[in-house]
Amino acid sequence: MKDKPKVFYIKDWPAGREASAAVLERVFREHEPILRRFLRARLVPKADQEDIVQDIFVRLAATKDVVEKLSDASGNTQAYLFSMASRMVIDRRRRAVSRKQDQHESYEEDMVATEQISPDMAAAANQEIEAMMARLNKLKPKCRQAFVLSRFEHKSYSEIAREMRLSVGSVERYITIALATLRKGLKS
Amino acid sequence: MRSEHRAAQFVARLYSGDMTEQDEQALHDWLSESEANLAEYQAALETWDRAEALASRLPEVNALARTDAAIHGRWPGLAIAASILLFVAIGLVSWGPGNFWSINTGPADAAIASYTTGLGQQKTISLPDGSTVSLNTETRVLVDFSTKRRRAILEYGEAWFDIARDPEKPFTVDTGSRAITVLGTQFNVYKSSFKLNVEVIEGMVAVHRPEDIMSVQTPAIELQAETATLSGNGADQYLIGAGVAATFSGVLGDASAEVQTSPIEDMDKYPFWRSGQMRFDQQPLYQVIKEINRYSSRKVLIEDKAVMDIPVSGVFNINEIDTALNSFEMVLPLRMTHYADRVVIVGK
Repeated sequence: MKDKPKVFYIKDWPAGREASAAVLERVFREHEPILRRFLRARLVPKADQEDIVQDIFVRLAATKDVVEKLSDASGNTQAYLFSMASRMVIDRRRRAVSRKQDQHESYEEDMVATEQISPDMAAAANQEIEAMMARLNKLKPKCRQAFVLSRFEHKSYSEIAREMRLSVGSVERYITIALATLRKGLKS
Repeated sequence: MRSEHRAAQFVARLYSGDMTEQDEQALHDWLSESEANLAEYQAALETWDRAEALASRLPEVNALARTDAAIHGRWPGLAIAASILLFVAIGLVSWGPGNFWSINTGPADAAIASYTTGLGQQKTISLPDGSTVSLNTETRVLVDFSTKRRRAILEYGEAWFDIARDPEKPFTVDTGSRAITVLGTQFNVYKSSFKLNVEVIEGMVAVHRPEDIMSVQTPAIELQAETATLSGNGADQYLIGAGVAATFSGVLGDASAEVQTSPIEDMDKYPFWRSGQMRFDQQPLYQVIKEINRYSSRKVLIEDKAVMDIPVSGVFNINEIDTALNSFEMVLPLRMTHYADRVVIVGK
């Protein structure tokens, strides 16, 4: 099996960030398997999985105060990584769609997309937000609270359970119901 | 069990962080059972993803999710000459402004992306080059990474920039009256009605006309970390290094233009708003109230000239304004009247 270069062997660490290298190595070791399972469960093509894992750690390596941010996060390091990974997955899918539509567009930089936003798109996006707010409003309070705490504050289910004085299983059940309900409004 | 519900269960398990090998196997088996299962699972993932659109309406979302915000405060009063030093117990801010987790990706979805915060809201944006931009209350920033340059436009408000070094591609912040160009550094920009405030923590920035490009050939004045006022038409370019705070007023090149400089205290905690705090060091009450009003929809008004200049020092949580006002009333010679839409301060 070919030994792929691991990202924490980045040469030329930004000056003053050598200490971060040790932390990132540890984070990488601890979270890589879980991150890969996450990507598999997100149905990411095998070819892209390795790229995304590398991208995440490259981005972390470039983040100032990454050591503080990750130490603060504790149980939420996972949530932080999952949310970064989710965005990259969405990003890649969107660019793959764009690439198909505009064959002559060339991407000079890996991370920059060149989709233009038209007034129609902006209006549609606004409508979608309104519709989603309305559906969120209709959720039962506990479902809504659990979902918001997880989705937007990236709290772990144990943290949410503590805050809402529930069992972790109940939190997961409420989030399941929230997702199933919000899915109903989704146009295919 | 209906497949929509099972799909939602799998996504909820996925984002719990506790998905086991068995869970993964169960998902795999379930997906192989039918096309419909796969379609439902993809729809459930999409539901999770598209909820991201609500991130731009976080204050409303938070308000829906919680009915009351707990206010904690403990403060010892210490009388020091004419001013009172107040420290409100910081405690962990569980939600609201300054929450590190409101992160959105940058221009992955638009050539020019815009980010806006409402009153009291804060947001941090992560850009493709590893830079981050944090927006404070009532701020609007546009980001343009579409061509071979890095550009942000600060339309209004206050933002903190942490820019990844790239000598090939300087990063420019266009504030309308002036532009700020950097190679890679950390700095805060606050654009208010008549002034532009730039404070640098790391690296160096150049402040110049928006239509010019920063150039080492242009004559420049390097501002110093000392309290001073310079006439603003002395040069076409001003260099600001770490530890220097500069406030620009007037139009560049006009005789009325002015630059006020001062040193930055406490470089480590700076800027306080990013940790959800406001800090005052012997500042006159009217300035403190002006700052508080940036974050509060219920404005505070001082209706007594006698108390306007009372020096105030202390550290307060941005989302605990009522606590801060209570502590003022307790230790300063003030009387506050709380109305539905405003708070009025007079002397005791």
